[in-house]
Amino acid sequence: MNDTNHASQQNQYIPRSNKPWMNNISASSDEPQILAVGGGKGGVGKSMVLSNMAITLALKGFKVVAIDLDLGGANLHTCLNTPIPDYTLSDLMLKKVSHINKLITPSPIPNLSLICGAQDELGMANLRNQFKSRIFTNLKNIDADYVLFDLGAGTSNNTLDFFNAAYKGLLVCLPEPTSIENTYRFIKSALYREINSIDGIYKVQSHIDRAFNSKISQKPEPPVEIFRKIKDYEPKLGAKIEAVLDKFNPQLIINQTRSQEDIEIGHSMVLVCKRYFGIKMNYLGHLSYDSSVWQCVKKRKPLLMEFSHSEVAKDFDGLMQNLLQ
Amino acid sequence: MEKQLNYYEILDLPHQCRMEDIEKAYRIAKNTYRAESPALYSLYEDDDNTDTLRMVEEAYSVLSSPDKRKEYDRIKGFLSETLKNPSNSLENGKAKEIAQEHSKYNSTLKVSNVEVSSYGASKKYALDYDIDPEFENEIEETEEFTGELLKKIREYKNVSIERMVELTCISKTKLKYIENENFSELPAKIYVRGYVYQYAKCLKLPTDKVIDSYLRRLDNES
Repeated sequence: MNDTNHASQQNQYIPRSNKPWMNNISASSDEPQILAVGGGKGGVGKSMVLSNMAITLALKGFKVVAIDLDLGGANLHTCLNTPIPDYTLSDLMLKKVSHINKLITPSPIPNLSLICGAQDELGMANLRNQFKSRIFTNLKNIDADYVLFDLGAGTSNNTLDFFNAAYKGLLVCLPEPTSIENTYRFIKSALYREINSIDGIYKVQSHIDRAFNSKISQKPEPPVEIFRKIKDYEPKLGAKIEAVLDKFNPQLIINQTRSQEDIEIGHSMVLVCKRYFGIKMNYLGHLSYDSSVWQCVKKRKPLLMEFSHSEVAKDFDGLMQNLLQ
Repeated sequence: MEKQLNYYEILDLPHQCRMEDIEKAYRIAKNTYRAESPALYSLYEDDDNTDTLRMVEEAYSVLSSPDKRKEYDRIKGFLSETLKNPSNSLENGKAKEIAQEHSKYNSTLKVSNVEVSSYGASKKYALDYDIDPEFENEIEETEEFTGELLKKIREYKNVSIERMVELTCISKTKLKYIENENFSELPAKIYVRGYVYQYAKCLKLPTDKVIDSYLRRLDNES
């Protein structure tokens, strides 16, 4: 490993799920640390955050592989100014290539390379568990310190599984109701999937479904209340649910903030998530709105390399420090 | 309904928190549960938050005062080091007085958590006015809560507009729009509903009746 600080983080690596197809990821210091960037809505800046995160880590000297898991609409290569690679994940699925390392395409930035999602296989958006399991087996052998997942918009099972499998799951949210709603929906869906994978959960399935599926107009009880009731009459299951809640710590980023009020929304969302879901979200930081970001996208240049002295680049620095501490 | 959260839970603080943590958590909580707070969108409705805000105020009023906080920690069993032997730091007479107070608290606690928690709230939201039976009767019987009537009731119950701002966390301008029925200046109906709800609640009026009649007026106008 590149330095001791990094090594100590590696030791904390704990797989976040007990799903069988994830058993391949085990705690070991020479395996890459997986970070996933998601968020319910399209256009909130997931790929922008991820590509700049990848660049920052690469500039710090870590070996980084960014994987585009937006399987229906992959475009991370555009964000990182890398030509469309010869092989994509669909070639691995169709067994045209045997090892994930063959998919790795170097980017113009040293230490940073890319694995591309499918370009045209529409079926890719609905991966089978078998293939997901193969991706994870391969990830173990990937030659990198960090593997970054760029997840697609929406809450498909694939997206949720990749998010939950990561060591840290980052959520990008805009300070506006539509995006906040989708962020909550994403948290709800990811948590639902995590809780549904608990052994024996079927005994209280109707309560779990009620906790997650009722509409606001029906004045639903917050999930945290329902978990509490489950604990009263099924203490063992209740304890397992609590363990899942304890480990479920999404990292929140508020993107495109224009005022102090926008920045505060992150703190409020953390409080609301604790009260509603019983989870401890971590507010990683905010990124100021900056029209130069859009120029960057147009020029196909990563933000940090083009505008390293802008406000948003400073925000990004703080955010990375929080992430790596 | 929701479990009664303790003061630390409502502000999401650990039991061993410092004063500055409390200040910060209070500021965040107040901002979170205010009317039109975007962070609540799709999980909580405006109606739910009047009570939460009250709890936040109450939690802060207790936790921010070292004495009250000690007392509260003791009652709830969140014992901290300084509290193990209160007689050391206090004169005997005073200690006795506090001990009596404690037993009073404890008996209330056994009956219900709610009673302890309403201790702070009732003080903050208490109304102090001379009852006019005739006007009380009029309020009782009316089916039409106009902005004008709401204002009249507010003045009758001795609540200044500034005090109303404090109680409801609604801005002075918006309160005035409501009282003057300045419908075109008010935001979307769903927000007005929340405002009127809080307005009515703070004046201890029948909220459903007030909301229905006020929103009916709003609909007819637009």
